Amino acid sequence: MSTATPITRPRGHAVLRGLAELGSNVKLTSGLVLVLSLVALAVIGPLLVDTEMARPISAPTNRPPSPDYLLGTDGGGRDLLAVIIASTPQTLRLGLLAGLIGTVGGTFLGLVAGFFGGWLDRIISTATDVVLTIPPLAILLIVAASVRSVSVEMMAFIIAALAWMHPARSIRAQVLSLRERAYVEIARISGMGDLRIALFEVLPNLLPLIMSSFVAAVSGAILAALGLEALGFGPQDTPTLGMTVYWSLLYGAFGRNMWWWWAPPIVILAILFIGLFLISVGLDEAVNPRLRRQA
Amino acid sequence: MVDLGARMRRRSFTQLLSGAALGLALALAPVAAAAQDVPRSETLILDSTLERIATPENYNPFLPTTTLQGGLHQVAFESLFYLNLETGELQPWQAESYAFNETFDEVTIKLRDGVKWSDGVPFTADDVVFTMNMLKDNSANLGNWGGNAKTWVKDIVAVDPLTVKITLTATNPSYVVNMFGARVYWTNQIVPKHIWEGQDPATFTNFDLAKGWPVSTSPFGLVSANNQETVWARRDNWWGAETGFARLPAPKRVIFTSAGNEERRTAMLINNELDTAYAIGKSSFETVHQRNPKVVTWFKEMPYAYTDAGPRIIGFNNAIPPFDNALVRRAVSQAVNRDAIVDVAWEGMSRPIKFPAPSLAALAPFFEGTEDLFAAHPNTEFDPKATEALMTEAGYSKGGDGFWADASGAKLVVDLVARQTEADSAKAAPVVAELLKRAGFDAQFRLVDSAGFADQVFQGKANIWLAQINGGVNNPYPSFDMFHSRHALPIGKSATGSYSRYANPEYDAIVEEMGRLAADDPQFKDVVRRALEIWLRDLPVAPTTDSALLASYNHTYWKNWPTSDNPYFQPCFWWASALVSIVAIEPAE
Amino acid sequence: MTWGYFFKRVGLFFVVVLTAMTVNFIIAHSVPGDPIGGVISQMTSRGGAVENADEIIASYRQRFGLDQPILIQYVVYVWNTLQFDLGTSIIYFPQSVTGSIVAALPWTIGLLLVATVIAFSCGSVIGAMLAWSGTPRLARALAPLLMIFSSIPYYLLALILLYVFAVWPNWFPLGGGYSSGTVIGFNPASLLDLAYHAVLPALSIVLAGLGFWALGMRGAMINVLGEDYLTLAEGEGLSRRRIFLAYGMRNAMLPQVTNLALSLGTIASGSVLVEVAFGYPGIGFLLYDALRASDYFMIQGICFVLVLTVALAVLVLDLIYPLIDPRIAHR
Repeated sequence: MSTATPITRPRGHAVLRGLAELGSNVKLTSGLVLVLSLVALAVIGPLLVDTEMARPISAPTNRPPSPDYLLGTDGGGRDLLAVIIASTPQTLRLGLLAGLIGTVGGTFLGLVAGFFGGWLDRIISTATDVVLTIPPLAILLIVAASVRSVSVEMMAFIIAALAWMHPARSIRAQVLSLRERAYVEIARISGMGDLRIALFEVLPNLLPLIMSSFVAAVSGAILAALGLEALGFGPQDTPTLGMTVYWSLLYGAFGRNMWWWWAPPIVILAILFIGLFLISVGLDEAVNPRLRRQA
Repeated sequence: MVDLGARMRRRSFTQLLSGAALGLALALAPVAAAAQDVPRSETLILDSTLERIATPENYNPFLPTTTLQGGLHQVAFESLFYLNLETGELQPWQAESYAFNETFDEVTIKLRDGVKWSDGVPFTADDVVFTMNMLKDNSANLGNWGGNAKTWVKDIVAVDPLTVKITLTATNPSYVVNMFGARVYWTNQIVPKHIWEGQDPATFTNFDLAKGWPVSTSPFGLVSANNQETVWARRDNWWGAETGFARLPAPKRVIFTSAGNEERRTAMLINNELDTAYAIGKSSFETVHQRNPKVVTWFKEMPYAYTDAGPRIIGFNNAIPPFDNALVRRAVSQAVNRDAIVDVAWEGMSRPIKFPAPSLAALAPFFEGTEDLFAAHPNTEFDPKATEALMTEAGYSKGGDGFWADASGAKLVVDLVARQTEADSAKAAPVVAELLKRAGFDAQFRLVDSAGFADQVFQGKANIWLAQINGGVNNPYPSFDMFHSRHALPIGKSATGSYSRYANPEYDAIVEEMGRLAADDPQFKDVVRRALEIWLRDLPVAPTTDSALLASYNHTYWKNWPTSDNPYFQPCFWWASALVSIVAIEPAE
Repeated sequence: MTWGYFFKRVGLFFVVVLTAMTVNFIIAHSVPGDPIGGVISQMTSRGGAVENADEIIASYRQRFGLDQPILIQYVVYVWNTLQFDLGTSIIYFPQSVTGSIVAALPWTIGLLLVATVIAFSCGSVIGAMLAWSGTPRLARALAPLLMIFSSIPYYLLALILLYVFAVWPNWFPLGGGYSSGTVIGFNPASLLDLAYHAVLPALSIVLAGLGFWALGMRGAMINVLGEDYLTLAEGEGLSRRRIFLAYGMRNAMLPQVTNLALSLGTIASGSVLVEVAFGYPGIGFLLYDALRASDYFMIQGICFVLVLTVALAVLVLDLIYPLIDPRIAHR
């Protein structure tokens, strides 16, 4: 344990300095460009392409890409360009919503459990361990049976309801360790309230972990949703990337060389995940100067 | 970001990966080959049609939970007769012949002399009597064969070791073909009395490899079984070869494996890991055929596939609004363009139908001379104007949102339920929902699994669904009988038959009359016409298309597969009748 | 660590198990659909006329005790489960739940555990390197590549691997757990055959998981690298490599290991796709099938095994954490 070092560190300055450097941060910028290009696709796309063509039997079936259908059509008579444009925002929404709920919920619970300990910790930890073993498919089936059709938002809530445990557990572990640090002790001795310590001393130290949790949660939520959708459970009547994968598998698109059917979802997801990754890396470097390359 | 360095790294990474993979494959592959004792060329590998063989350790053919198509009903047991759909003939197998009395309520079955169980005990009338009585006494705990035995068998006696006399509870000229003929999918198999006596048929699994169970008269005995595959070895002392009834089957070993889904099925056909595969799509087949020309199907050209026995329908719950009204049922039916279903769900391999019976040559004569009825009831013609007219006649009008609503303003909600495990249903559901939406119905579809489907459709919670009608193949009576009101149990109880809960006493009387007539009776066609007239008027379900399951056959190791050039038998290796063609198959070289 | 803490923690273990059992009971019984009706549906789906469906359903409901009030069913379930009697499967009747699990579990443990540990170890090393400023630029460029693998929907990734390694060049088998027609035994040939069949599924799990383990490790590393004692260590002139290994990685492993333990809980739902794509045997498909068919007893049985595993893993972690990281004190 180190107690001889300076006790409070100039975190605020680091953040400010980081903000000032955001513009010159290549990783952050390129990450933002990637993610924003997907947002742009979602916003501008519908102006250029009729998303009604994403509905079944709107186009001839099984056409390879051509000037008429730039990304070709699928076995159900959907124009795949329209499908991609209609489904990208749905998938983005699902990922962000589920990632946000999961991370915020998990962070809050992890912070409370780790910092306050005692019976709160015990309840939260018990809940974490219990929820962990619930198969997401079970919840989805239960929800699906009680509504007319599963929406993207419902899907996001279901995924999030079962995705907060990882952030909660790792944040709790980190807080347990931070709680005993010297600067927390000092803050406590200097009469700071528990809540203030948790919010102003502990939370900032968790930001990088939270940020990477968030990126992982968004990607994890999208892939979890895709996994369920690939098995045919999800918003079946809505065009999403996952349902596109489901239909392509149902028709055996891979075996019949219809690459234009299954490849676009991969491209969109790869752009999204790399973008999120770069944003997370860029933010870390902005916040934590130690990470910046030393000449 | 991705500079030249990264590109080079990636290339060397790929090289490294493929190099390592090749090395690993070379190191491991010969071992795998050495582990097999029967050569591939003497092994017949069939597709179990399943994602997984669910109950590999259960060979009780009568339990509702038993997985049948993992080899059990193809090679674990034989059948008394096999119905040949191509010749229309009921081919005797364990039995030699059968004869009804004049009133068709008593049948005498002659067993073949020399049939032996695999443990050497002769197969006799006692086994048949024992099996049927066991089914009858345990009907509540067993599947459909229990129910059928209880429904039909009044009394059964062994006249002599090779003669069985069954007294039926009512007239039933189709009794033998329906019960013991492997009609369509399955058959009432006979089990050995000396093994099953004293067992509780409700829990007996009939599985013990050490004891040579399941004991059967089949030319193949079980060697190993698990979720992935069942393996059967030829019994060289098979009664059929010893008595000169048939030659010993060529395959020394038969494997039923689980390809699971279309992608793996396709890949396994290309790699010769399957000798016959369950249904795949048209384009998938074309890809396979291009890469492995030895893989063929029933027809050389479109429509490729053999017409399956289960035509597809849109089902309606006739017991509750809105589909208790024939006008609404017809409105929905005429809003659906069957050609779109044929295109999307069948890739052009199927065709629209007007009545839920398959387009098989054996059935066509029964419908001759009924064209005028179909013309008078154009139920299946795609005609949005007719839909408008019918809906208006039924008292509906379009609301501000463009959706049909009844007089009180309540929207007519159409939630189409389809079974996810049936690929064509899953493919057709979006099409039907979309067409109904275009016709002004507030329509959605929902793909559910078997338990969900049972819950929704059998119990009467759903009001519209996609399904199939597994009726007659050589006689239309079973198809008409699906709509008899005895199947229409109250909502909340499990309906049977077509699940449509259609009830019409006038129709019932005609169908009962049809059931009492032999198919070659001169009055039969007239009764069919009368039943059809009511059926078309009421339209309890909307027929959509034939079912065309494109099964493929690989000539790399085996030949003499049934095809349209050589149509000696139906080419359906997932049916209980498969044994006939397994015995007929010959080595390619 | 005190004995008091030990007993409290073990007590908590039992609370977790009992609560989870209750939750699983509720969930299993809320899954829509009638399992016995589903069995009948399967029976009729390909051409069987069932005359007595209602009679069969009634008799099976009675056999499985489903005609009893739900509270009685619950008490029977808890009582039996605590004696490790998981009952009989509905959809595989008369197969016992324990029998099905025992047959499937070795496959899942063998494949998933090995592949997850590989993904975890490689991912952690890569993640640590991504966070360390001393890592060469080229190695860092690898990260976006990894993200590409992790961003391919699992099922498609599996298909790509199948085509690249098993269809175009016929190097690896197309699926299954072992060569068709062979008998599995404890001999070198059989073990090699098992390994041969596990290569592609394992590769797919590693590729799909690597990115996430790397990301997690990177986050944890960055946290540790921001610590005061590293500044101190640097000030004391310790070599950077030494700091990286001895301080950075060691401490960052804590949350990573927690995540590893937690991922045991999702091993069944997570392996469904692997098993479906590769036709590989295992517990994932068992759970998937049970959920689709509402097989209450199978769902409860599998979840019970998962609960026990996760609760035990977390218990062990909580008990050894204070030993690894003395900063964690227990009040």
